[in-house]
Amino acid sequence: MGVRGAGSAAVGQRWVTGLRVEAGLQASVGAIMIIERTRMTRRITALAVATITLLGGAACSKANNSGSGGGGKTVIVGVDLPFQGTSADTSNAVYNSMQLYLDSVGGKAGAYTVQLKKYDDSTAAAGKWDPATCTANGNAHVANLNEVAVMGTYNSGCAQLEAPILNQDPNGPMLMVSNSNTYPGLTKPWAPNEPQVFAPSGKKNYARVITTDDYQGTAAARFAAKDLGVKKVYVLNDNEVYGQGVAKAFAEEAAKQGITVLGNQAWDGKQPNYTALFTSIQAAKPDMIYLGGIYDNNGGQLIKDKVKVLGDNKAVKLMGPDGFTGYTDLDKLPQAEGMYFTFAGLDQSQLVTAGGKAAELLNNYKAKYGSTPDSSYALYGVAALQVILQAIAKSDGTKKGVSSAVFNGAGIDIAAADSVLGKEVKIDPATGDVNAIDISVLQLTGGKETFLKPYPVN
Amino acid sequence: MTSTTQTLTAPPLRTRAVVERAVGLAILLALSVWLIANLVHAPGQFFQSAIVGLANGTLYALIALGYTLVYGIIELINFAHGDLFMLGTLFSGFLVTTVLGLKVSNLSGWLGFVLTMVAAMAFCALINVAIEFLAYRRLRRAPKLAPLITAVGMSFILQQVGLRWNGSQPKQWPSVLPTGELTINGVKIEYATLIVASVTIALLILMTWVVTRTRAGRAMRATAQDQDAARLMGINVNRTISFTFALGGALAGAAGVMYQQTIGTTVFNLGFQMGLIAFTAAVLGGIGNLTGAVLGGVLIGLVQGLNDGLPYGLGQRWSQSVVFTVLILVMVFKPTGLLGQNVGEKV
Repeated sequence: MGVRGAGSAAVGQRWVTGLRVEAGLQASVGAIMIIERTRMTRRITALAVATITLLGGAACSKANNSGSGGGGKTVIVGVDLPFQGTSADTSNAVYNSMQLYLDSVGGKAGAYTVQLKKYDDSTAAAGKWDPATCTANGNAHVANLNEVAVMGTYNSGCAQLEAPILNQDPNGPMLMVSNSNTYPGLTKPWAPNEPQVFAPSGKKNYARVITTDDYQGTAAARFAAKDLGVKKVYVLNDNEVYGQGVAKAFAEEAAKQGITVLGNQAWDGKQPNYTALFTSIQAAKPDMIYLGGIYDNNGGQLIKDKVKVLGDNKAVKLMGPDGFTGYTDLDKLPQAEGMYFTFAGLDQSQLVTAGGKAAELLNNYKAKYGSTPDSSYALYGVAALQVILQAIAKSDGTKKGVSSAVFNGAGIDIAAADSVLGKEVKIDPATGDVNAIDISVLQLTGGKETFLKPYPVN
Repeated sequence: MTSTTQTLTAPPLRTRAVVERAVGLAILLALSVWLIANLVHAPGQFFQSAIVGLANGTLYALIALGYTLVYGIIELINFAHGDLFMLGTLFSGFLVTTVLGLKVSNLSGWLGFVLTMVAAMAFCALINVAIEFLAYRRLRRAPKLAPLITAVGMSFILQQVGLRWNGSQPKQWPSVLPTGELTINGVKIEYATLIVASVTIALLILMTWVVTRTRAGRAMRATAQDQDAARLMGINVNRTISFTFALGGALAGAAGVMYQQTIGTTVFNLGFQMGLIAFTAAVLGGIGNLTGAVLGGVLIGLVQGLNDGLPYGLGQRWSQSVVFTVLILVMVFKPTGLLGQNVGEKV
């Protein structure tokens, strides 16, 4: 409490200085106005007033920044997620969980007061993440001088655009920790020039608390071969960065496991239906269809047409990556019943059974919002926040300091007792990858994504 | 001297014609070889893909009819038509499932379907007439570009209405049409496809009858030829144009119900994609020609279906490219479209 009081007093003082500067400026504006009116026309006066007001505003904000050094400084953590469209439920659950956790630690990281700030990387029109909005958000993070780190993004394609912008921040590089980017190339060699292309300044700034699609695709392929006994699979991808990556990883491992991969084709999210596509697939007689992509790309229609042409998910099995998890619309779709999913992390139900921090947070969440979060990504959002908070506590409160706390020296290490994932979370300073490689397999039964088994990959 | 100039100018023309014809024939030959190869390799798949393509094609045709009707009478490409169709799909889902609560195929399902069909046709006709009255009528004598841009603007307005109504995510709906299928030699034809096809054919016959046999149709044709002359003959031009927009809107409404009931996914930006395809269909068939619009729509559906479904197809990734390549080729060899010959009677 005491520390908190000191913080708000400092804020109050800053306000007072701000007001003083403003009052001074207003007086001078008044003086200038009188002189102007005697000499020039009214239009020019208006222009001058507008300009001076603008300049005054700039001076004020500058005064604010310079005055905010020292103890009890408030720093901002941006939360960059698609808050509109199909992923809105998940994004809100992530944000609410993060806020809940932050409140539970008193809103502090070391000597600093931390505030969350929402950035929406989706548009209503797109109904999902939007490239132009991602780029604009990247620039906004850089421009906001009090913001020291970003938690996000949800989609790997969006992270590919934002990570290089934050990396080249003149006051940075600025730290970005994602709770859900599973595209391997962001941290490890995957496509040509990756991951260097995402860190043009040569310094690292991107980390994640979730494992990658090469593990997720591998686990899915092994599960299909060993647990489901699949012999022939047809792979579809949505032609996005994430979808192609996970589909490629799945197809490669499936071939190694002795499954015949009949094809790896893109589906076009803008088509009215996919009956013809599945007609061509039907001729190859697959036992399983793997959908590498996100549900947002007309996934509902895709699943309906799969069932229409190839039969239900018992006859020809259906499997998707985490891009199909956490959608309430999908869970309610009768044709999706029996679909398998992989999730590149621990499932919420596992975390609750394990007890500890996760169970505590989920109980608080339930008490406040009436139900547990829709998506297991919510807890990973909190895990990412824990990484950011520890980095802030170790740093000097600047953008550069926060990112170097993660990528220099020992890096970030959250002990199992404190971690919301119930196990040690360690970020590798050399790559930005997390030590925990957990894959869960889920199945949609009775309209609910039910945890089936953990599928560790090494 | 004259004879030499003639011999000088004539040969290039002739070679061009010959080359054009040769290229045209070569394309047709390549296409037939491709089709036959697929047919021999996998006959069942060939017919199945063709049926799927036809099913989508009849839906495109219904939307294309509305485009071509409006273009025929005031030479305006009504870009809002695709979005009007989208509103039709939303209205259909709203009435059948949300209001009437019908989810399965039975007698009340059929009654609900017919009621929804009538209501959606009236709903879309009303919106289309209102759009014409509020936005296009004032611009009838303005330069061509003004109504065109207004139509694009209307398209955005309708899309935003759809966004508010449906939300930004696609919605899945149950159908009240029977779900079974006919099987002929292993080729499945869904009942829903048959229903869509029969509704489209019935509407096409009805439209042709209205345009060619009724007083209102005669007024439409006269207005299309020359508005001033039609007015001198005592035709109420404004009312005739409103009537045409009502017909076009009703077709969009019918297409909306058929789409929502057979495909079952509604999304606010559906109109853009479907409108583009339907407009292409109308141009392909010869814009202003009713039969041409249906032919163009069915053809595009067929091209897409075969491309997506055949063993030697390019796959769905290239679907759009293939459709527009076909359009460009047809435009190169037959700029009026497939049936765009009789320019005299456009409606």
